[in-house]
Amino acid sequence: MFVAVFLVAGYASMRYGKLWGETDTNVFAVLIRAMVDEAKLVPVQRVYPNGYGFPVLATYLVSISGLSVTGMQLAGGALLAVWVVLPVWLAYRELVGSARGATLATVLILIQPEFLFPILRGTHEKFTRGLMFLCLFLLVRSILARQTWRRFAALLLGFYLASYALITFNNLLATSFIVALGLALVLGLIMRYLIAPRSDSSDTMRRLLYAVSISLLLAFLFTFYAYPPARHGLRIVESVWDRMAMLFLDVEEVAANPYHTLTTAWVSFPVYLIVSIANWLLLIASFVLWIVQTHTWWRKRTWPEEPRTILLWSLYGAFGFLGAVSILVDVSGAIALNLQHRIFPSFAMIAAPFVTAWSLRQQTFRTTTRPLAYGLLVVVISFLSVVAVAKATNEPLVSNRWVFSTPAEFTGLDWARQNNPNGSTWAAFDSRLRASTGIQYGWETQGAKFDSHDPAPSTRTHLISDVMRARSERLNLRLPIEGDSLRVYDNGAAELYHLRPRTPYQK
Amino acid sequence: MTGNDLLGVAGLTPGEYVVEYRNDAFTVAPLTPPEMSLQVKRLSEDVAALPLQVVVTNDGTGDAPGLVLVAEAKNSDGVVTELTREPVDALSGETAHVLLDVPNSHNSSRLTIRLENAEGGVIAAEMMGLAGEKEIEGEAIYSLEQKPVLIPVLVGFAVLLATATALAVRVQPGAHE
Repeated sequence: MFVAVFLVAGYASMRYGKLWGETDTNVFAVLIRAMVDEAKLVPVQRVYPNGYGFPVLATYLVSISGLSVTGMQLAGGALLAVWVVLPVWLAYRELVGSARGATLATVLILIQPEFLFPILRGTHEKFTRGLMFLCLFLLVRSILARQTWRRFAALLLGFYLASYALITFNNLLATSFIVALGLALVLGLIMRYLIAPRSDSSDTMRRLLYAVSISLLLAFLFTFYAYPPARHGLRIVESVWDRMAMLFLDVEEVAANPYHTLTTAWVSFPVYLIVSIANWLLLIASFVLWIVQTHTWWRKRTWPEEPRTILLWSLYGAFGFLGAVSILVDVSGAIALNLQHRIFPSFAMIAAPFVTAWSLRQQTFRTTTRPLAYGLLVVVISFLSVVAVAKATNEPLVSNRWVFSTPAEFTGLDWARQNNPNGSTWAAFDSRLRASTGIQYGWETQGAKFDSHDPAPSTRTHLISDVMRARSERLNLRLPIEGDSLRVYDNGAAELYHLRPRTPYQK
Repeated sequence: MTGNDLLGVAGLTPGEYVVEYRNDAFTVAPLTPPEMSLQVKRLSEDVAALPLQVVVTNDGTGDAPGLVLVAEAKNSDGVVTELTREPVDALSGETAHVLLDVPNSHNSSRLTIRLENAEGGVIAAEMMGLAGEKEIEGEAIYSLEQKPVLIPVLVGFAVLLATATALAVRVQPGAHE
């Protein structure tokens, strides 16, 4: 597993070399540079409001390794994902109850493109996800190991340390994780009350109650006392409710729907379905199994005694509920329209062992069909692995969201910032070039003015490259220059055009 | 020359002259051939049509009536297509504005506006590069086939996961089937 993740991390870091960028990786490059420069937990230049964990860790790694921040974000960002394997496997071994189950569940989570993408970029997510798994491992282990008090105490301490570490990396993701644990507790209590009120699973529930309460207290202390910038999260919550009101109470026009991107982010809808097939298979299979299991317990009026079975079932229900809510929040347009990208990996984290636990209970591979079943399984997993990587790395053949850049584009933008220092230069239909140059050089933080997406009326200079032409053709977008624009720079693969003045006041 | 020299042309060499009466005075200037110039402006961002304003200026002292403005598009294959032609009279010292409504084509890489006389001779021409229109090289889309060395890495990842799956789901020796 380590080798597999090392390979995919190497693939991700070598796919576009140093010439790639995406917004969040760039944001963290800026944050890490600020922390390296100022050597403060809350730098004046720029601060990450949701937690200091990742900038601190990256600053430490930059210091001891001698890597540049650029190298850390572009190469290290992917390669550090290897660490996730250990907590993933440990957590799954506890949740599923066997080593081979843990291996199978780990494979299932690693073929989820929505899980691979966040851990392969230069953000906190590889650590937040890993810490979530570590919390799950320590939580389940502490429930199962209560008979040995020394071991129990060590696991308990480890769990709260891991929880606090998770909170410092991203208090919002950590809070949603803790809330999911709380929802799992509520769901478990309700089901137990309805199905088998006299069953004895109070130890598991009590343990969950303590874990949730104390973790929430830690999150509260972090947000309001330990790290003041984290209060920013509350402003987002206010915004969520405002936008939900807008959406459901018809106060104003309907907010943007992020799911419209399905039709634009990929070359076609069938291609989107193919690259996302692992997500859909896991979603549908796990949901059907969860419904069937719930129905079976209800019909037979039985409640499992095994803590890991209760935990898996209730965690799945909780994360599924949060996933449904996240879709509503996303449609409302809050939190940069990407909450579903945050919640789905959390959901998949539980769905994978849930499906695995079911499959291990089945004895479907009969002797006569075993070779065929194995062969089919190998082919399916191989195929899902490849398409997951294609999606997670935004392979340009299938994705319309390109993240790569070319040296000619960098050279053109460098010329623009030096020769057009007071004016803004348009740099692509999206933020890929601004992110790439931000990670590599931080030009915008040094005062360069770049524009992207729909150009501002005041932007008179535009970078047009072969890549932009290809993307313009792919998306049927018109390049934002006029036929008589003045070509002021050309390096063969990228040009700069200056719009002709239309008034005496324009230059 | 006989009589009063009201125009002050005494001493001028024989030839063609233009006499103008402006500001209560006559001026005499040699009649020079029309000096035509064109200026092309794009009027709109419309994708489907490309309305152009062509400003025709005659800086010579001779009039140039009966001219024709011709718009031609040249595509990336070098094929030239005439798009439209409009008549225009270019009088001396004056500026004529002509609107040309030409269809916009994604295949067109260069637009030529030329001014022809009655015999079809080209008097002035202006080339207008359709900025941004350029033949796209296939390498612009940085697909995986441009980096074949990574394909074994991807295959290795897939094979390892598939192998791990096969090992995990295999029936354990002695297990109930």
